[in-house]
Amino acid sequence: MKSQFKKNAPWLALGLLASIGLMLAAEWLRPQAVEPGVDLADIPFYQLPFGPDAEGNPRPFWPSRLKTENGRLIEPKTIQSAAACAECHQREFDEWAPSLHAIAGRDVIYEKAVEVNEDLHRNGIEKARFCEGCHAPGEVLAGRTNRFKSVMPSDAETEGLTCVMCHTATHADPVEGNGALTLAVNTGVDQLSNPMILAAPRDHSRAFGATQTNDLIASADFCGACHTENYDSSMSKAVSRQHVQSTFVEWRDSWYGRNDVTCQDCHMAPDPAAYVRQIRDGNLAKPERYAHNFVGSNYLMFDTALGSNLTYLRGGLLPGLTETKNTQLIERQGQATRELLRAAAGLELRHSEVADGQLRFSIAVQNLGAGHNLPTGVIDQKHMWLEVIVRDADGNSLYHSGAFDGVRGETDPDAVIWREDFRDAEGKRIPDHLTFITAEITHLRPGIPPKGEDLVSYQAPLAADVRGPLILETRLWYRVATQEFAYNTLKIDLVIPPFELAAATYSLNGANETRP
Amino acid sequence: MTAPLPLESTVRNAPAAPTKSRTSLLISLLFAGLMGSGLHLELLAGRNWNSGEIVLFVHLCLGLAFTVLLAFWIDRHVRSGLRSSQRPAFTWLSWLLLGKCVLLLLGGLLMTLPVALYLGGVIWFWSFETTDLLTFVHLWAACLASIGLLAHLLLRHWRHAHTTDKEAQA
Repeated sequence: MKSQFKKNAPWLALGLLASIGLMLAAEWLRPQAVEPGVDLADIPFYQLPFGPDAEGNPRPFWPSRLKTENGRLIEPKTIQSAAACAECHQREFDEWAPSLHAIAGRDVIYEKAVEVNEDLHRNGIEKARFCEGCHAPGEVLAGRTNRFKSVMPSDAETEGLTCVMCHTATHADPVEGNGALTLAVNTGVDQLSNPMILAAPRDHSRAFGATQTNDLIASADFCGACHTENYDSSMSKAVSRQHVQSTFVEWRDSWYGRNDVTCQDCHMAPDPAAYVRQIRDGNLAKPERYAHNFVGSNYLMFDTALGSNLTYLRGGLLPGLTETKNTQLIERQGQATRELLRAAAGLELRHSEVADGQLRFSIAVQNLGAGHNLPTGVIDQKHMWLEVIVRDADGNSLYHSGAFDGVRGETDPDAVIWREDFRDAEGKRIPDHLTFITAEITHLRPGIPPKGEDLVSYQAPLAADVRGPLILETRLWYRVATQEFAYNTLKIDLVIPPFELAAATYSLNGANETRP
Repeated sequence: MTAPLPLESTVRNAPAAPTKSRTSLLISLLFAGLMGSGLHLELLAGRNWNSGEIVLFVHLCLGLAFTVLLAFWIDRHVRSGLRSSQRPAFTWLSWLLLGKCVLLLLGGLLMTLPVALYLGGVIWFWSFETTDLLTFVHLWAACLASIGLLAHLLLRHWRHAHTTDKEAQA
């Protein structure tokens, strides 16, 4: 045998054996790995007022359907803040930071609504796990949604839907909803130092949930787990299941669902409005990348005209942001939100006639760009109405429906409104989102389905001496919350401004003008 | 590439100088250690990255030491090897091994570049696709280099006397 081999072989064998030995020794000498997460019994004074499930297992997060993969609560200090992720993923952080997902748990309007609900019931705080499961999953999973706070807070818990809350998901049930997500947040994350992550980034991404997470979070099923909300006796006075939010099902049963145009395609496109227009033009190509902006419909949270009120409403600054940068990011996101809203709806005059001293006309309110109903989501608050004004040739108003009082923040009660109503056990409307006493959900006018329209007819008396041509002005307005909610829950003198989704002016002689 | 064959040379090389020999043995030792820890990172660490961190750290340290040692040693080894190699196939296989080693080390060094920059205060990293490519190159270059090293150590670089005699007669 060759002398070089004879000389080197023992050293090669020694090196190989030494490395194997070192790894085995490290494995043996390593302290016995404890099951990640925290045992339920180790959370002092943790309340379980809803009892065990059908198999007798405790339900620490009920009435939210959120759970961890290994069934244990999370150790707050092991959950990375988005600010830590931002050290490397700055672009994604900058996209996410102004989004509604980032402030889902700290948005003051939401916080106040939860507080009011909590006060309605003896186990109100524990019942609020239902809300917090989607809005502040870190709080719920750490055991902080409890009347006795025995768990220390952490940055990640205050960040609403922070990075790890999506990037560790392993299962979602979009039909059950109510936060029906399973997160491998205890087991699916690494605790590597940054240099080590940079040395093995592929394995860092493997640690964050592997392929099942990446496939899941790219699907509409994942979004549906929270964007489907059903009330039952666990969290409300409903005796049968009440569908409060059905955004996932609206999408699933639509043209968009059938053509695989997913939630992420529109709401995570770098330019969502441009993408919606692309879809409207029939081009179903996917976006060039998915941004972490989650552009939605809540324009109020990006209304920089509110000044310091906006910072208050958004629950202050997120960890990792300065005030200047926060404002800059909010302005950018606000622009994208307003453009997306304007890409959603359209108005069309379908019919008009004057007969028997009456002007009759019909307006088609169209859902042109939303892959779900218009409006969708928490539509006891988010609502839409149509304003129509008929003027004579001199500009005098002959008929006005849907006027908005900008001083008192009230809408014409006779307006055509698309909204759902929460009703208590006596059938009385609850205007301020009091989930825990809601017994039934009714609709003033159900949302307009994707690519559908709602034909609204009007009849207005006309005096015999009216001078034409008559001008018909139409505006479709959207508002993220009712004024009652602002007064009753926020207890601040803030008129929630409406947003013009679409507008059109028609000369009943034929010359028309529409926008956007 | 191949040096002119010295017809009278039918004897094996003279023993290597002790320092050179010790360096080559150390390089062999490090190579084997890197292969072992690398296989652990590729096959086992994914099960629990938190326990794989120490192996990754050791792999990085060994890799840097290997690179430095090889860089200082390889020049003399190639020069003396070219002089003494009597078989073109062996010479070509050796060049191939060197190419694989360069690919392996370059891939590894490029993968550690973000770490070096991070320690220098700059945050930068390869795109996901580039990381995948570098990992692929590093892994397969390591496998090929291992086979190449064994072949390099096992194959003869000298010719048998009778072969040389025949060639001389021809």
